[in-house]
Amino acid sequence: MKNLNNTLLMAVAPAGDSSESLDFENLISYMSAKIGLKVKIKYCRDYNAAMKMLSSGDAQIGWLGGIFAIQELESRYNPIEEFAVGVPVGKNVPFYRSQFIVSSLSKINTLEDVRNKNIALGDTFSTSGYQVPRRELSEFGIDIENENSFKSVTHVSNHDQAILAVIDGKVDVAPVSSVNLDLMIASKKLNEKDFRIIHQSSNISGAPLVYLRDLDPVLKEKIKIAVLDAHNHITVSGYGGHLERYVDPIESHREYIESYLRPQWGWQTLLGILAFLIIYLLITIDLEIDFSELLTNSFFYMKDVIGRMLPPDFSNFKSLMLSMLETVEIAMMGTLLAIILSIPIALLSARNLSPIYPIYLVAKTITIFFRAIPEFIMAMILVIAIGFGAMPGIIALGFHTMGFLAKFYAESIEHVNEGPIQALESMGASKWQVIAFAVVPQIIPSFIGNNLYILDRNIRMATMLGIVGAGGIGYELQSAFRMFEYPRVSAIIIVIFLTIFVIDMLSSYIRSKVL
Amino acid sequence: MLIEIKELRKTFENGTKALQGVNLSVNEGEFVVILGASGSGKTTLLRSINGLVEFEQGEIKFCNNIISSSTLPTLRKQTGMVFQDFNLVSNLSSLNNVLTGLLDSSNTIMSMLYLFTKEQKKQALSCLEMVGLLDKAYSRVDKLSGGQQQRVGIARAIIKNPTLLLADEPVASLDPKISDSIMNLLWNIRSQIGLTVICNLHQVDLALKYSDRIIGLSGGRVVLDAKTKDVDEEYIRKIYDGHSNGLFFNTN
Repeated sequence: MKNLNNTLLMAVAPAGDSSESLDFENLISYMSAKIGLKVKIKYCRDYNAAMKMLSSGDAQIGWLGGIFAIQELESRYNPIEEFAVGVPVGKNVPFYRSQFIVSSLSKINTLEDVRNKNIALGDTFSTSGYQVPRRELSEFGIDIENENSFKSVTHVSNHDQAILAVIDGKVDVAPVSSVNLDLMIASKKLNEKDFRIIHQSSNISGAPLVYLRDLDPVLKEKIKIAVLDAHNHITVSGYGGHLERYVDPIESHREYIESYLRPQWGWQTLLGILAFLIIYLLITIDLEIDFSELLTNSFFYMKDVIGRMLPPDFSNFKSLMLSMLETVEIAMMGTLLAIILSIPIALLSARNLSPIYPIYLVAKTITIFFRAIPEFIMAMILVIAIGFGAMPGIIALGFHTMGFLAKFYAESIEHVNEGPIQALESMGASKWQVIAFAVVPQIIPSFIGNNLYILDRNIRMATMLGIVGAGGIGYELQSAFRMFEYPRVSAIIIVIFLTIFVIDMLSSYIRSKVL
Repeated sequence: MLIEIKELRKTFENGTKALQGVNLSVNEGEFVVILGASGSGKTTLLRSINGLVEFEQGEIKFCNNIISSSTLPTLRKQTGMVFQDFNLVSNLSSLNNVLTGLLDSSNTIMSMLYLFTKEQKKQALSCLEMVGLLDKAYSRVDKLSGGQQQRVGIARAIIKNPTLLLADEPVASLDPKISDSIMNLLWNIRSQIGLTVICNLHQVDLALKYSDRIIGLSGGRVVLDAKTKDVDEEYIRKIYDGHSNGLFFNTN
């Protein structure tokens, strides 16, 4: 290391924006006094020259400019490390942003709109006037290097020029540094009402002071402390003129990252959970639900009832199976009835097929009406009207689930791909031909799926219909309960369970084969 | 040698011969691009490395250990993967998506409640900063653009500080400009944190711009394995047996 005569050399690269001052004299003479070593400043022609001096060890301290220092520090095998970064006047953190500004009257609202507009750009070395904007624009597919991306490109030598070009209407938009923008507002050179910020970059770290990694650790520490403490004794300056102070970049970066920490569960979520708990607590109180009762007395009675139900009594197995079969038959007939009834209703209640609005409305009302009345109620009325047996059950199931199926079909008809319909219409197919060739094939899978679901559901529902006298195993269940024959009740429950289990497996199988 | 692949063969159930004896090795710190048209077997090759696809013949060594069902968990802890369609959990925030990369080392009960330590969250935020999305940490990923989503995907892949990054067509769903910026990001991250990267691509120009070495795959065989600086277009045509469909040259 060429560190002769106890002299340190500081290599300074030119600032990206030529008019922004680079003033290290004051800081360096203070530091020199503090560490008891002579420090000379060497202003280099360009970034490469400064970096070369550092790599060779000719210079021990340096300032490399924004974008280059960051690139250099990010590469793994670099000879330098950052030790201080300047905080702009009036700020707390050594960060700034690149902001795209437009005149307040401009119609530009997003970066997308910047394409084919008049733009002012800084020097290609400028971090916030070129390099960062390049990245931000590329997110919107705009290539900053290609002049054809814009109507015109005005090259400016500093941010103040760019800001004024926007205000004066010479250009439509310009990316500028937030530091310059804030300073111009603070010094009343610029009115906040005259411009709008349409986009801003994430925080950019200021250009840091660096020293050689393999410098004497004691010396490194001395230099660092002197610079970080300088603002208490002198007016510090550096890139961009006067500065508030210098801070440790690693420390400030840690604080910066921590400023983004938020609790994983926001107060809104916690408030929501609390509200939910309160509402359910109030419901519990209103319904006079006593959970302790449920766990003590009721639990005891429950145990008693279950005890009486066991073992299940399968003595009349044959008649049990026959009435279960009857239940399944009722469900199958009901489902068929529902399918037959729902197809025309669905065609009329699908908005894209229904001929006129009143017909659509009537069809829609019919489906809602039958969905609204539980099949249980419907069956009770039908038993009174047409007497006991399978018929009231079939009709009740058929009409109730017709309401469901018509709604399902209509929805899948409304969601068919319009493309094939247009293609067939354009070649002169009639309305019914269009339905047969373009609509039906598209809805077949959901048609089968929905029918299987309704069949499954109707079997479960049909077991209950017998209770009101509409045939099937429900009737057996009802009479077993009335006679207090609990072992028979448990036998019926087991039969129902097994039947539904088999049907479920069967319909899953069909579904997997057909769909 | 970080990875050594010997005589790798894979035939799918439908009879497609995806890999027909692939031999290759990857050095630590290398950025290798596997170039090939659709159906050349490059996805199968990449997925065999971290066990997403089981191969029937041949062997893969990672750090001189043969990959088997017993060594696979260790390997997976050291690999990050970037997917073509990003594979992010769409209604979680960017931060939570990145944190999913740490689930293998998190407390199960705490992570079930979406709770992570301060250190883990700082780590995730740093990764988001690295990909330039710190400001979007608390945005839902489905509100982000495609390029931004892939950046979140990259942050998720690098959060556990992997040795190896596998990127399966990371830019196939993005337009050319954004593709370039994503490849540039991978390239920079590789040198920043010292990763080894294996990246599948079908864009020749991107492969030439962002790689140390190009491995050409065609019909499940390696037809090219050369340092990027030695590769010319003549070479690359060889990969495609004269039919250049699936090739994209970005024209600016």
